[in-house]
Amino acid sequence: MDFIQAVIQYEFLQRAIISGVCLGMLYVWLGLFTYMKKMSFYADGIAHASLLGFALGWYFKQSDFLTSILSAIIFGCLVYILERRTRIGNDTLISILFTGGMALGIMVLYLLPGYKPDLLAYLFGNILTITQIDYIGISLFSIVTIALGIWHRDKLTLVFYDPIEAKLKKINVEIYEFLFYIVLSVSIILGVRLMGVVLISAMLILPTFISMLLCSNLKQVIISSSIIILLIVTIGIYISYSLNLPTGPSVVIVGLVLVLLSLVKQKLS
Amino acid sequence: MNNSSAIQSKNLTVEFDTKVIISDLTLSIPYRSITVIIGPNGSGKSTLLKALLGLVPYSGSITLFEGDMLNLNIGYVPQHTEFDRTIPMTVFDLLRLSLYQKSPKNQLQSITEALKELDIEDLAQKPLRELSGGQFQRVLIARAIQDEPKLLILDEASAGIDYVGVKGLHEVLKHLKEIHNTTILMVSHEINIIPEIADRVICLGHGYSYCGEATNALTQEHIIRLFSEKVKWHDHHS
Repeated sequence: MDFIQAVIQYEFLQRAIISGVCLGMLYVWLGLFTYMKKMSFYADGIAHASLLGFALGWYFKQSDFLTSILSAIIFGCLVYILERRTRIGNDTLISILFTGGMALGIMVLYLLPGYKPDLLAYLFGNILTITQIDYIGISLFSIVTIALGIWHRDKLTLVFYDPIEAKLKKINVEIYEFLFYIVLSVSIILGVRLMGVVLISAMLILPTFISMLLCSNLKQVIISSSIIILLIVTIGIYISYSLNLPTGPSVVIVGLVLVLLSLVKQKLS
Repeated sequence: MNNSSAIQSKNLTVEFDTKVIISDLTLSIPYRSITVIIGPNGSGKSTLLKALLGLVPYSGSITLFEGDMLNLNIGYVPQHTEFDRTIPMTVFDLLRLSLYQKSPKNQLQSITEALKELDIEDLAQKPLRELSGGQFQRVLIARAIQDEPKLLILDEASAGIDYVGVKGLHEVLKHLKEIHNTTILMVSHEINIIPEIADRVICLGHGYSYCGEATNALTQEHIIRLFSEKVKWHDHHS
């Protein structure tokens, strides 16, 4: 009851819940295609590599949010191009960029004169410190992307599930894949603000993974993932607020409990 | 070479790294025909199909349906699929994806007819992860034919299908050719099927190729040159 009253009373909690839910709904769509393309490691890699953008933002006294997004887009383009132009395996490529981006980022922060930013906040995020601008940006980006995802849902599913068939149906697979890399990169950075570098891919993957275990068709997966993300975000924030625990880990732990319950249910059935 | 062929290739060469898979192949396949591609393992049969579909880089020229690619509807069953069958999707869902441009009513009609042709209507609502290998193969064939393709390309499509299923598939192919004027190109290791369904045969060997009428293809000479040994096959005339 206290929590509901607090949500009504405090704007920061409203922003946290709305941003979390918007981003969660976006991750429902992105998570489905990420799972199909087996790109969960890409999401993790982009989040870590963007530390370079974050550090450069501080170094050049620019918005670290914008420089992080820019660096994530550049890393996304690099992965997309190198995957197709070289014979380096996808996981190896991401590992190289991921560690390279992080190492350069830490080096830039080390060389930064004067006040140094709080790395812990970047690594673990804080959903309760979402500003009005963050909130508007996250909500708008999520709504527009979800609308485009719904509009192109069949084409996107065909591109990610069976790209050869998609090519034969004269769909420009390369363009769809490239745009997906960019949208996923930007979405990951928006999420880093909330959940931090370390925890963000959990939010992308857990609801989809749980739904894959429980459902028998893709429509059910979308509906089920949407409900699961609502539960994870609201219960996670509730626990965080009530017990004064960090928000990101609280959200992820709720997700992990649901994964365990789903695995038990699947085993029993 | 006939200018109104459904498929024409001239000096087609496919290389991976420095290895030549197909060398200087010139062929012509008429409209409304069934062509069977035979040859030993690694002779480039699947690569030829992929080159025709534009899925691998090549040199030389390929012309499909006199260049009318905009209206060309292709059905394709690959030799190996990389489907993740842990993703929850029913047979109906899979078939519907390829018909995304059609209305739900037309999708239902096309899918129902295709599944009926392959005698697997009962699988429509079954999740892909619950299908056997043979059932899944039939589903892939149903998907390839559901939109009445002008060009149907099958790469060892009958692998894993039982005898009755294969016979049924041959009837479906003949029906597509006769009724819908489909041009069919298929890779098979079953030389026995050539007298039964093929109009033309492409023999691809290591450093040897032949493209011509089916009746002329099944000579001892071709087979020996293809497989470098004597092969016995059942002659339906004997």
